[in-house]
Amino acid sequence: MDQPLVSNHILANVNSVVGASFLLSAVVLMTQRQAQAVLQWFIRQSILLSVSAFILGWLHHSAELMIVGLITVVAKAILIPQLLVRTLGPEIRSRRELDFIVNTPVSLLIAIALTVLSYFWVAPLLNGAKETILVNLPVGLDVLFIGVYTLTVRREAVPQMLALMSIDNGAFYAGIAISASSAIVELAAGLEGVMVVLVVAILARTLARHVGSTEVSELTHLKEGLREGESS
Amino acid sequence: MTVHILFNLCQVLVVLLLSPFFQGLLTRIEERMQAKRGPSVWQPYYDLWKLFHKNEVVSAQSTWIFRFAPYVYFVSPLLVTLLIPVLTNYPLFMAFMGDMVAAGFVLSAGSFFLLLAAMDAGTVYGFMGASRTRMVSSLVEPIFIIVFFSVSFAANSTIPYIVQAHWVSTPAAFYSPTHLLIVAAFIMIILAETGKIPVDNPAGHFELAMIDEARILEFSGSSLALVKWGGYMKFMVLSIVLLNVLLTPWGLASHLSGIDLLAAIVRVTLKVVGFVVLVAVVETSLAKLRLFRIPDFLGIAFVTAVVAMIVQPFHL
Amino acid sequence: MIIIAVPLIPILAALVALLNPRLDITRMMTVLGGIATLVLTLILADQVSQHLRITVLPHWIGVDGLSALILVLQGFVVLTATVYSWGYMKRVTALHPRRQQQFYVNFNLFLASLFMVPIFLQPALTWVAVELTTVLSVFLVGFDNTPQALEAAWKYAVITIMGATVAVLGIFLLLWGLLALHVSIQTWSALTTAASEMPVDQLKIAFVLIFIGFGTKVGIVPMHTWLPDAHSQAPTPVCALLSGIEVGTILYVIMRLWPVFEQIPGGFAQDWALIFGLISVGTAAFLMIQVRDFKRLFAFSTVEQMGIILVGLGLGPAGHYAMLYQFLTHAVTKSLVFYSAGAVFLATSTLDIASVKGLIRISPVAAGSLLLSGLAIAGAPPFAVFLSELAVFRASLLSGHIIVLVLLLVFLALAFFGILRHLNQMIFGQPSHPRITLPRSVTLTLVIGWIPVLVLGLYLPASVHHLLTLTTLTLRR
Repeated sequence: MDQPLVSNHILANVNSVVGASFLLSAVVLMTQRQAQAVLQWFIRQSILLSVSAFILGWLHHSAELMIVGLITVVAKAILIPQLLVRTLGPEIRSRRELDFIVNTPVSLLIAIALTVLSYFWVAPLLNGAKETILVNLPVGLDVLFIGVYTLTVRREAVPQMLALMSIDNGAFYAGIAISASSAIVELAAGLEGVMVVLVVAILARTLARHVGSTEVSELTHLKEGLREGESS
Repeated sequence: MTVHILFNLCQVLVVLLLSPFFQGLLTRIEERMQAKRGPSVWQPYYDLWKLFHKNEVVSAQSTWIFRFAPYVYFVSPLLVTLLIPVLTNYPLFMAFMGDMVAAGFVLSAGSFFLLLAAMDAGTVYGFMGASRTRMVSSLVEPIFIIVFFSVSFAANSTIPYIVQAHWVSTPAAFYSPTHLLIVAAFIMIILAETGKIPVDNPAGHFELAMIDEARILEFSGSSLALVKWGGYMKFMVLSIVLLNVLLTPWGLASHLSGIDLLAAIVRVTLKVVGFVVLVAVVETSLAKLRLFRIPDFLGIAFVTAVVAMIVQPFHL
Repeated sequence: MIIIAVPLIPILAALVALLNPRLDITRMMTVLGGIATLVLTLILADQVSQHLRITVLPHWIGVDGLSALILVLQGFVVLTATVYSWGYMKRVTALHPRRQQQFYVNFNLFLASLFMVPIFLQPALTWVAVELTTVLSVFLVGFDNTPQALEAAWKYAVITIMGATVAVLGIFLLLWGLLALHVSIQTWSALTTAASEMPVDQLKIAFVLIFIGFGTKVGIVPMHTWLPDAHSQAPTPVCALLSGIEVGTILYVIMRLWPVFEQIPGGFAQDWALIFGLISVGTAAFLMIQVRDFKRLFAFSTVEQMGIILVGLGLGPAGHYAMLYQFLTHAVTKSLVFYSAGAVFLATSTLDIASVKGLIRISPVAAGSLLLSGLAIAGAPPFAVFLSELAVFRASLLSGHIIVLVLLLVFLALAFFGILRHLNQMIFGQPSHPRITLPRSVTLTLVIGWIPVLVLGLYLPASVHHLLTLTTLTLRR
C-alpha cells in the first residue's frame, strides 16, 4: 500500500527534473547558431516532452497520455527531423553561423524576464494545484514565450520553423498536465504538426530555389510607402 | 577535538596527494578517447618531481609579487579544503570559519595573485592571458553569486555542510528543478574557471589562443611546480564541492572513526573519477569556443542559475 | 447527414481533380461542388431556423444558428470563387495545365477545411480545423512562386501557425477548468455552463491567449502584419476566400467562446475587443491612404472591417445583432471587391495603382464593378455595408459608447477617403492599357456577386433577419 505512493512521489520529482531540463532546452535552442544544433536541441526537447507525458500518464493512470507521449516521440523526434533533413538537407547540414537580430546576452536577459513573467502570470492558478501542474504549467508557458521570442529574432527559415515547433512543444507540455484531453484530438494535433513542418519545409525549399536564400530577413519587398531604390 | 583536527589534516593531505592523480587520469582518458595511448596516469607526479629539482629563472625586472604569487596560488585551495566536506558529513574543526562565498573568495584571491605575477613579469603573453582570464572570471563571478543565492534560498544557509545535509534530507529537495539547474550552472562554472574546453584548451600550446596557460609562461622550476599543483588542487576542490555538496551528497564518513574515514576516501575518489570521466567526455566531444562566444556560454550558465532562483519559491 | 456532406463534397472534388487529368471535368466538378454546398448549407440554415439546432454526432458534430450563418456565407463565397476561378485561372496560368490541376486539388482541400471549422462541437477539434485551413492555404497564397508571393506565404504560415499554437494553450486552460469541475464533455455549451464556476484568473489568461492567438489569424492590429501580404499576393479567387470568409471563420471561434468570456467580471473581454477593434480600424484606415497596390488596399479594408466586427462584439448584447449583420455584409461585399480587383488585374497585369489609368475605357465592366464595389465596402448608401455600419453606430449609441462612435465615424471617413482617392486615380484619365474583354465566368461571377450586395442594401429579407436573430441567441449564454 505504501510502496506505490513512494514511487509516485519520486516520479513526480523526476517530472520536475524533466521540467527543468525542458526549460533549459528552450533557452539553449534560442542561443544555438548552427541549424543542425538547433535541430538536435529540438529533438531533445521533444523527447523530454514525451517523457513528461509518459510520467504523467503513469501517475494519472491515463492511457491517453501514454499515447500522446508515443505520438510525440514518433512525430516530433523521428518524423519531423527526417522530413526536414529530406527536404532541406543542405540548409541543415551547412556549418554557416546563423544571424540573430538581437545579440545573445540581451536575448538571455529577455529569456529571464519571460520566465519571471510566465511564473507570475500563472501564479494565481497554482495555489493548491497538483505538483505536476506546478511544474508543467509555468514551464510550458515559459517555453511558449521563449519560442515566440526566438521566432521573432531569428532571420533564417530553418531555425524559425524549429522555433515554431518549439512553441508547439511548450503549449502541449502545459496541456498534458492540465487537461487530459482525448487521444483523438492529440493524434490529430500530432499529425497536424507533421503536416505543418512538411508544408513549411517545402515552402522554405521553394524560397531557396526562387529567391536564392533562406534568409527570411531579406524578405522585405512587401510594405507600404516608398519601396527601396525608388525615388518620389 | 584533536581527532577533528587530525581529520581536517587528513582532508588536506587527500587533496594534496590525490589531485595530480586526477589530472593524470583526465589526460589519459582523453587521449584514450582520441584513440591514442597517452602518458601514464602518474605523469603529473613525475612532472612535479622533475620541476622541483630544476633551477628557477626569475626576471630581474620583476618584483616580490612574482616570487610570492605561486605560494598564494598553492595554498588557497588547501585553505578551502578546510571549509568544505571532503570526507566527513559532520562539520570539522574549521567548518564554520567560512561559507561557500568565502571559499569562492579564497580561490579567487589565489587567481588574483597569479594574475598580478603574470603582469609583473612584463611579457606580452602574460598581459594577454591576464586580461582574458579577467574577462572569463568577471563573467563567472555573478553566476557564482547567483548560484549561492539559489542555494541559500533552498537550504537556508551557504555553509557547505548544512547545504549537503539539506539535499540529503528528502528526495523532494534532491529532485527539485532548482537543484538540477544549480548543478548544471555549477558544472559550467567549473569548466570555465579551471580552463577546460569549451572555454579554454588546457592542452593547447599556441600562445595566441591561450587563456589560462598564458599566465604561467614565465614561471619555471619549483614556482612552476607550485602553480601547476595549485591548479590541479583547484580543479579537485571545485569538483568536490560539486560532488559532495550538490550533485551526489552521499558516501561521506558519518562516524568519528578511522575505518569510516578510509572508506570515505575510497568512495570520494570513485566519485571524482566519475566526474573526471564526464569532463573528459565533454572535453573530447565539444570544440573550443571562439573567445567572443564565451560570454554566450556563460550567459546560458547565468540564465540557468537565475531560473533556478526564480523557480525555487514555487516548489517549496 | 447534410452537415457531414458539406465538407465531403470539396474532398470528392479534390479527388477528381487529383485523379483526372482533364481540366474541363475538374473545373466542372469544382463548380458543381460549389453549387451543391451552397444548396446544402441553405437547406441546413432552413432546418436550423425551424429546429434551432441539429446534431449529427452528439458532442462531436452539429450546427446551430451561428454555425449555420457562417456555413451559408461560406457556401455563397465558395460558389462564386469556384465560378470565378474557371476563367481566371485559365487566363493566368494558361501555359501550365499541371499547375492548374495542382491549384484545383489544393483549392478544394482548402474549401473542405474551411467547412470543417463551424461544424465541430468541441473547441479542440475546431482548433485542428483552423490549423488545417492555414496549412492547406499556404501553397495557394504562394501559388505564383514569385519572390513576393513566397514571402507573403512564408509570413502567413509562420505568423498564423504561431498564433494558433498560442491559442491552443488557452483552449487547454479552459478544458482544465472543465476537468477541475468534473465535467467530462468538452463542448462549447459545456464550457458556457461551467464558466461561471471557473476561477476568474484562469478565464482571463485563457481569454488573452485565445484572443491573441486566433486574433493573429483574424488580422487584428498589431498581429496583422501578414494579412495585407497574403491577401494581396494570392490568386484572386483565393484572396476573395481569405478576405471574404476565412478571417471571419476564424473570428467565429472567438465568437463561439464569447458567452464564456463574457462571464469574466468587469467586462474584461468586452474592453479588450473594443480597444483592439478600434486600434485595428484606425491603423487600417491610415494605412489605406498610403498603399500603392490595389489588392493591398482591400486587404487593409479587411483589417478595418474585422475591427468593426470586434467593436460590435465589445458593445455587449446590444451590439451582437449589428455585429453579425456587419459580418454578413462584409463577407458578400469583400469577395465581390476582390473579384472586381482580379478583373482589373486580368485587364492590366499589374497591381500597382499608379500604373493603371483610364480603366473605364480599358474594361468598362471591371471599372464599373470596381468603383461601385469599392464604394460599397467603404460604406456608401445604397449598398449592404452602409446599412450594417449604421446598425453598429446605432448599437454603440444605444449602449452609451459615445467615444467609440465618434472614433469609428472618424476612422471610417478616413477609410472612405482613402479608397475613393485610389479608385479615382485608376478609373479615370488616359487609358494605360489596350481594351480587353473579360472571361465569361468572371463577368458571371460579378453578376452573381452583385445580387446580395444590392438586395441587402435595399432591405433585409425576413428569413435573413430570422437567422441573424437566432444567431444572437447563440451568442447569449
